[in-house]
Formats: sequence, structure tokens, C-alpha cells
Amino acid sequence: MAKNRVKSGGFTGAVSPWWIALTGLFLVVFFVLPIVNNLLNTNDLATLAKQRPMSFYYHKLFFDPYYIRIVFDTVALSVGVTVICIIIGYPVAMFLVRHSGRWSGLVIFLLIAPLLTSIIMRTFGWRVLFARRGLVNDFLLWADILDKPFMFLNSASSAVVGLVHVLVPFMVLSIASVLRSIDLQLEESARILGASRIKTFLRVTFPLSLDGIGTGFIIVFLLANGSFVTLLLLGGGDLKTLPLLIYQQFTISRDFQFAAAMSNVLLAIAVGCLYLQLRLIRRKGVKGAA
Amino acid sequence: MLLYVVLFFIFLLGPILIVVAISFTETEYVAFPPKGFSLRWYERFFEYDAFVDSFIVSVELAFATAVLGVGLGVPAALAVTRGNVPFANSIMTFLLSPLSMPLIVMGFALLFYLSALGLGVSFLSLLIAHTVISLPYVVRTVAGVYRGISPDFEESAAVLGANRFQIFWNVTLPMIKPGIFAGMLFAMLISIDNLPISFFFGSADTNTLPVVMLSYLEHQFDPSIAAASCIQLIVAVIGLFIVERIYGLDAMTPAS
Amino acid sequence: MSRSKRWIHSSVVGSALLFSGMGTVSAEEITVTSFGGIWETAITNCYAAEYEKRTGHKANVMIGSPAQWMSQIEANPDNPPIDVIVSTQSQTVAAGEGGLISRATAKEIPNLADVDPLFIGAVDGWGACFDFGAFVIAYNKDTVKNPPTSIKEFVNRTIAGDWVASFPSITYGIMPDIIWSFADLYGGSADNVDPAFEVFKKIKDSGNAIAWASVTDFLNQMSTGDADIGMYWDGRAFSFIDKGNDWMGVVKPTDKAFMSCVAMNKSKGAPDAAWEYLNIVFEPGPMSCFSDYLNYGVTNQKVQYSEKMKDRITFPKDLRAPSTATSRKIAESAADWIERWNKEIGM
Repeated sequence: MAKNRVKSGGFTGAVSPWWIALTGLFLVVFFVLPIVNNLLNTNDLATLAKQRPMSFYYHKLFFDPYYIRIVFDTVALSVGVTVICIIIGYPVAMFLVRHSGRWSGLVIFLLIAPLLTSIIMRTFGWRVLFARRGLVNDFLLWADILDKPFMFLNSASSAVVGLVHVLVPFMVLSIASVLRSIDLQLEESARILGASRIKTFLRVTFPLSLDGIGTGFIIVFLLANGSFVTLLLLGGGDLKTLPLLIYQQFTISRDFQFAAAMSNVLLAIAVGCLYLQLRLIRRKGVKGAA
Repeated sequence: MLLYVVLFFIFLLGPILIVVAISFTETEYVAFPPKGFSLRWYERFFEYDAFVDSFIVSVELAFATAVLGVGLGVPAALAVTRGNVPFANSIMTFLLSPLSMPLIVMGFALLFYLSALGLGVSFLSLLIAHTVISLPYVVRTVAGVYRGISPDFEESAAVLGANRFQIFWNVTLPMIKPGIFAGMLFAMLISIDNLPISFFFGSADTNTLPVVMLSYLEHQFDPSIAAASCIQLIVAVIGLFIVERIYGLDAMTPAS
Repeated sequence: MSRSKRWIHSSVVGSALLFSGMGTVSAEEITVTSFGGIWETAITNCYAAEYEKRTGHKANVMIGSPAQWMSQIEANPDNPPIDVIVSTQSQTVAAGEGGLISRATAKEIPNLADVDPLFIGAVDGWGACFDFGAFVIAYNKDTVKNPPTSIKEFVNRTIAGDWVASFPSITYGIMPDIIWSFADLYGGSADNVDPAFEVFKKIKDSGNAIAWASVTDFLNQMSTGDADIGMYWDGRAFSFIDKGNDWMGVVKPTDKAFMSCVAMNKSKGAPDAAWEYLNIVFEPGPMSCFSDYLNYGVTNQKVQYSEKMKDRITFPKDLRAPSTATSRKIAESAADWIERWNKEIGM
């Protein structure tokens, strides 16, 4: 960090570095310690269900095929949703940055507006759309794609759609902010040198925007990883993930120890992802977009 | 491409508009297209104490979280960015780490931890929990804005003899105002719609609106949820409109 | 003041005001619970209103499910966020033995003296059930011309595809008890629920069943035509019909419907004001008010039923009710059954 040292007069910033200690302490006490507490599981969590050692639960999670499936599904769902968001969101980001012109304010507003609504509102809307007699089935029947209404609400597809719906604005904004900073001259030069539109995109624009995709990927993945409301209201019985099971433990089965074990596994997935982020995403130091 | 974008926005906004439509239905049950036109579900919102009380709690909590988040986050963000602190990168990562934690794990862990500490299910616990998760948004936004400002202004002030506080108050603060504002807005949005954390802290005076709505939805699926959602949306839009007037939306879209 | 100063100033002042004016629940104000739908209307109008009239303090009514409330009490035993908890037989036994609720006898709740001992025994002395209902078959008279007369017939015809039927989903709080009742019906017991799982597997595989997650969900499904018939609580079905939905019909199955009785208890750390509320709950006047709304039987023997009710209530001797020992077994096994259901059936 010596490169950051100011050239004139040893100016060390407008605030004393000791403020970090205060905030840091707050986070340690109320963020790190609760997680550690949960890991060590020192709480006396007894219900009428038998008290079992934590190893019993971890064994279940890692060796029982049903639970292995769930852990796998948790990660697979998050990855799948993220990829779909990239595919759907990239064109919108392009449009926003390159073609919207004076409408860009409106586009941004329309992107942010859903984030102002409660996630319950959005999920509720999808429930109505996907009902046996809802608009989606009506449309598919009318278009002759189906001849009997499909029980979307009982299948994972409705949950995936719901999650994509909630998370795609984050992806668009991440990609857009990086796209914005790409120097248009680079693309122009490529065109002048004879590259086609597609080639310019593939060779120049896309690689330069990878950073935005990466940031968006992390954000969306982590959010999808921890979400349970969408799965609770839309997935039917079909798709189960760790967050949903944790919620169910708390509201139905009341096996808190199991919930604690599951939450630690979920945490491990998140930490793993965070670690990958630190290693793979090009770090520009404190000055970069974190 | 324009067609694609239009379809995209129909996809994005469709469900929301549907909910708005449903909130006006006359029927007892959720019907789309809505049958008849009635404000009974809005009346219901005000009749069911839990809705109103939790809405008030949600708003109070959002404000408190924003204030506490800014109080804790702004100085730290500034100090890490330009304070010549050793391991600044790692500290920044640490400050932003709550972003990566699955919220349901945070909620679960915080509930038992805070109960063990004696704080239990209380507004203070909720506030602490919400602040922990909104802090990274404040820090990131403020740091981002601060980075974009040339250090020359502050240095000149230092050279001219201003002390630290004067520099902060008269030079830095006015320049990072949009960042603080954006950070506060994010903190409030995160807090108001938060479910996974608030869920664990449910009680008559600490229920937030999303928690009550979820419980209601699970146990009584009727159009009052639609009405409650719309009321929440209206309040949020009014808030955003006020902010837009004062600062302009574009200035606030961060490189998030 | 400069703009930023004004903002900071008002935020600080504003938050100070908010903090000071913040609602702390006053001493005699209590938080009581209720199931959703018509239940909530009844509890609010019959019990909470009465409590407020007599004590001048509010009884805040919260909708949810017993398991959720129990979790919340458990996480905060010294200062429980819930003062009066509603729960089924098995859940009451679980709550009692888990140390979440206080023992209640006629000493704490005088009106318990008039309650049918059957309902006190049903929850092993942890207070008493205050209402009871039967899990019967509700159907759409327009689409189901020839309704089944027994549960077994209903199940067989669902599998055969006579209609689309709706069953409670596993997330419904009383489902473990219902699983037991199916086991009991098909020759099993609380120790052997295999018969129930076999039956439900066949139902699920037939593709003619959907699940209702909440009590109003079922009514929605019937109203929109998503389901033609289903298993549902008699009281709630009658209340729904009374509202003008005379297209719905109710069948009291000949092979003993499942009886569920619901108890209300004071959580251990709750203030004594809760006893006052509970006494109102078991008093004849408010009880018959509740019964009128919900068309359920109530347990204070001094309650006089109206004519229409006499026809509607099915009494315990004609129903399949779990004994205390069975309730305890259900409470102990609930988590395992739920897990098994998730693995094998998934509805």
C-alpha cells in the first residue's frame, strides 16, 4: 500500500483510521461471533425430538442420498439461475448502455422498480400466473403448445422463473456498469480494421465485459444460494434446497440441531464462493469495484 | 433488439401489475382477472392490526438501520479508502463480507446468539441484525464515490492548515453526499424487504411487514396480501420520487 | 444550515423520537395466537374483543402455525414473544414436555371445571382442548354428482381418476396427526405408519391429487375449479357454505373421520394476564360465539348449541381421536415422518 502514500505533506485522509476499529468491532461482535457460535453449536437446543450429537446430522447430510441431492440441488439451482440471468440480462445491459440514449433514465427506473416491491408481491404474482387456470397455462393452451394445463406450481420451473425474475436486475446493472466504461474507440478501431459486428463483439466487447459478468455472477449466485421465499411459495414439493429445509426445520419439524448443521453447510458453500471470488476475479486493489 | 427489451420489461413488470390488479377484486379469493372492483382488501389491511403495526415497525426499522449503517459505515469506508491503512484490501473484504453470507443462516445464528446475550427478540436485536447486513452496501457505495473524487481537494485543505475534522466536514462530506444518500437508500431498501432475518425475530412488536405477509400468505391466502403489497409499493415509490427530486436517479446508480 | 447538516440533524432527531416513541408492549397487553382464515375473525371478535372489554388492554392476535410459535418461544424462554399459544393435541403435549407452557388446571382457569374431562385427558392435563372438529370430505356439488360416503371410497376413486382431489401438504401443521389417522384407518398405528405412506404414494402417483398449503388455499382451489373435492375441516366447510357458497357439500365419512381438538395454553414466561384471557376462552358465552363462527363443537359442557349446529357436529365417540400416549408418539415422530414424506412422497 506504499504506492498510495500521498506525495504532499503526509496527508492521511479525512478521517482517523481508528473509525475502522469501531466498525470492525461491531462486525466481529455481531457478525463473526454469531456464526462461530452457530458452528460450535453451543446452544442448548432441545425439543421433544431426541438429542443427538452433531456428527449424526453431518453424516446424514453428506451420506444420505436424499440430502446429498439437496446440497447438489442448492448449488445447481444457484448456478442455473445465474447462467440464465446472464443470457437474458446481457442484451438488456447492452441496450441500456449503447442504445437507450435519452431513455436510459427510464430504463434504469424500470429495472430498479421491481426491487422496490416486496419479494412476496412478486412471488405472489407468479403464483397467480402459473395457476392451473392462470395466464401462462391459458396462453400455452391457446397456442396449442399444451393440450392439458401443466401444474407449474408443482414443478421446479416456476421457482426458477421466479428466481430469475427477482435476480436479473442485479445482473443487468452489474454488466451495464462495466460496459459503460468500455472505450468505444476500441470497437471502432476493430470495425475500421475490417472485423464484422459479431467478431467485434466476440473479440473486443465481450472479453472486456467479463469483469461485469463476473461481479454479476457472484452477486446473483450468492443471492440465489440463500433464497427460500421463492422456493417456498413456487417450487411445489419438487425442488428442495438447504435454505428451504432450514426454514422448514424452524417452522415444522423443529429439529434445531439439524437446522444448525444445514446452515453450516450452506455457509460453507457461500464461503467457498467468496474464496473463489477473491482468487479468480481480477483484483484491482482497494481502488477497484469490489 | 428493442422488441426483446420490451418483452423483457413485460416479463419484469408483469407479475407486479397483476398483483396491483388483484388487490381490487371483489371476491373472497384470489382471482385474476379480478372480478368486480372493491377497496375491501385495502380496508382489510387497516383492520388487521398486525399489518399496520408491522408496517410501522418496518419503516421505523428501515430509518434506524440507515442511520446506524451510515454512522458505522461512512467513517470506516473513508478510512479504508484513503487512510493509508495496512491490509486495506483485506479490511475492505471483511467489511463487505456480510454480503456473501446466506441471510437465513445469519438470521438463525443471530437469533440464538442475541438470545444468549440477553437481547432476545427485541427491536434492538432486529436493528443490530439489519445493520450488519446493510453495512456492506453503505461501505461499498460510499467507498466507490470517494474513490472517484480527486484527493487534491482534501490535500489542498490540509496544506492550507485545516485540521482533520474541518477537512471532513467542509470538504469531504459535501462531495460524498450522493454516496451517503445512495448508501442510506440501499440500507433502507434492504431492510424494508428483508425476510430471512426478520423472520426469526417475530413477535407482536418486532414483526416486520414482510414477515406478517408471509405468515398470512401461508395460512390465509387471500387478496389482502395484494393490497398490503401495493401499499408498501406506493410508499417506496413516493420515497424514491422524493429522492429523485433531490438528487436525481442517475447520480445514484452505483457501479454495483 | 447547509443541506447536509439539516439532513443529519433531522435524521438524528427523527431517530431519537422514533426510539422514544417505540412501542413497548404495556404490562397487561398480551399476544395471542390463531390459525388463519375464519378462525382469526372468530378469535378477534369473540375472545380478543372480550378481553379488551374486561381488562381495557389489547390482546394482539397473530396468525401463524403452532410449530413456528413454539420455535419462537423456545428461542426466547424468559421473555416469550407469544403469551397464549394455540396448538393441536400432539403439539400441546410436545410443548408441555418441552417446558414451553405452564400447567393449567381449574385453579388457574376456573372455567376448566365445566369442561368435558375427555378433552382434559386428551392433552394429558396440559390445560384442555377448547374446540374440536372432524376432518371430513368437502366436494363441489356441480362437478361431483355422486360423492363418496367413506374415506376409503374417496381414496380409491381419487386413484382411479374420478376427479381432482386436494390433500393437505406436508407443510400444514396438523399433517403429522392426519398421517397417523390414515395409518390407523388402514391397519397401522403411531408405531407403524407404513400403511399411510403406501396409500399416499398411490395417491401421489395417480396424478389426480394436488396439495393445499393453507386452510384458505383449499377454498381457493375449490372456488377456481382447480380441485373438485378434498379433505377439509367440517367447521370451516360449513362456515364457507354459510357465506353463500351452497355449491359445496360436506360428507361425514362412515369410516370415522379424524378428530382434532385444539388447545390453548399460556407460555411459561408470559404474564398472569394471560390466565384472564384463557378463562374467557373457556367461558360458555364467548365459546358459543366462537362456535357460531366456526361451526365447530366446543368443550364447555354448559354451552347450548343452536339447531343448525346439532346437525353439524360429530361427537368424539364417532370419530378417530388419538389417545394421550398416541399424541406423545406423534409429537416424537413428527420430524421423522415429515422427513420420510419429503423423501418418499413430496407433496
